[in-house]
Amino acid sequence: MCEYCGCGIPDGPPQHNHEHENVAVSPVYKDLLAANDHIAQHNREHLRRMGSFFVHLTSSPGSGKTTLLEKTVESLKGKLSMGVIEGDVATENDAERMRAMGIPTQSIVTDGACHLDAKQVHHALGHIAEDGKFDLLFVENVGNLVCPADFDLGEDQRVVLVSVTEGDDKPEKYPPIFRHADVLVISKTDLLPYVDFDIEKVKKHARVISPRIRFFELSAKTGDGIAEWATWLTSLVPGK
Amino acid sequence: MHELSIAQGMMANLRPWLDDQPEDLRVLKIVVKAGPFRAVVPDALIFAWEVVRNEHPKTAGSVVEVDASFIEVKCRACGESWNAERAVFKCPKCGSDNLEFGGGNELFIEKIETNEKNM
Repeated sequence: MCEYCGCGIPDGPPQHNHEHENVAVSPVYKDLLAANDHIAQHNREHLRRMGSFFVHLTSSPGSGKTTLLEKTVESLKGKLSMGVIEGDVATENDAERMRAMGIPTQSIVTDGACHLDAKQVHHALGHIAEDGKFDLLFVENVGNLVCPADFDLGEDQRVVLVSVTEGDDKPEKYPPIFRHADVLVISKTDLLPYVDFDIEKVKKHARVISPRIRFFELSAKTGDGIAEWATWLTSLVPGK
Repeated sequence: MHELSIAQGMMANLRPWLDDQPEDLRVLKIVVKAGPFRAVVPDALIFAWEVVRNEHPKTAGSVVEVDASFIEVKCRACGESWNAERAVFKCPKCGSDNLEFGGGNELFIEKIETNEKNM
């Protein structure tokens, strides 16, 4: 039996073919993260069947992922059911902040690892599913603009945050993370008067790397832009 | 250091095939094709493989070589196209930033050299 089954999520796994595991197919030309992508697809299918929309937040440390989640919960609580998976290298600090918001939260402490993978998220999904069904499920990755780029977690949308204090050359410096991004959130816009940050330059470069990318400009501190962000999230949930 | 995860992915891909090979087969070299959008540091992957290769007797002692692939860049303004080692944001011919990227997302074993045969 596949170790990824029996995860506690109803309906069992989707078209899960175990027979291929022991077949000596050629390893040549097969993506090196195929095992991760297989579990990610499994996560995606599970959540789709549960009617949950899965949003992955990733960025440098300190660009405001957790604060954005807090504001998102404030804005949507009572309208949508939400759950959070919090990735952190060494603490449960962020998970505690989400629990304080009254949101079912599962923590993944990586003990030094620089990114989450689909297997860790699958394990967390198995636990958080015990808290019920969610319209929106968020996963906050470990703060890092390099390593998370390669790892599909099974998300429906991948959101990259760049805060205005980080500098406007992030898409140029870290192309892989933007290549796989669906959304770019430009955060901490209340600090724009104090820093040299060219929003149009960031958007232009991000669009070259990921032509499908969508933008939000917001400040979790003042609340500017949160309404647009929350409206967009709501539109993603089936039937809302 | 996500290259350790990638090295483990290499072993996951190789293991069923390795198990099916003759007992005396030894892998000498594995050539990995890696695109610029996969954020793989060659030296880090080579080092990670030195740890992971010992998980199977047929790969113990094998080495990894990284064959970097390119991003296919096309300028929508002047039609110029070229292969770039990393993401670029300005056409070297006309200076436009209206560029389109293709490829660059490769990450797979391109070739395996063994004491018996290459594939």
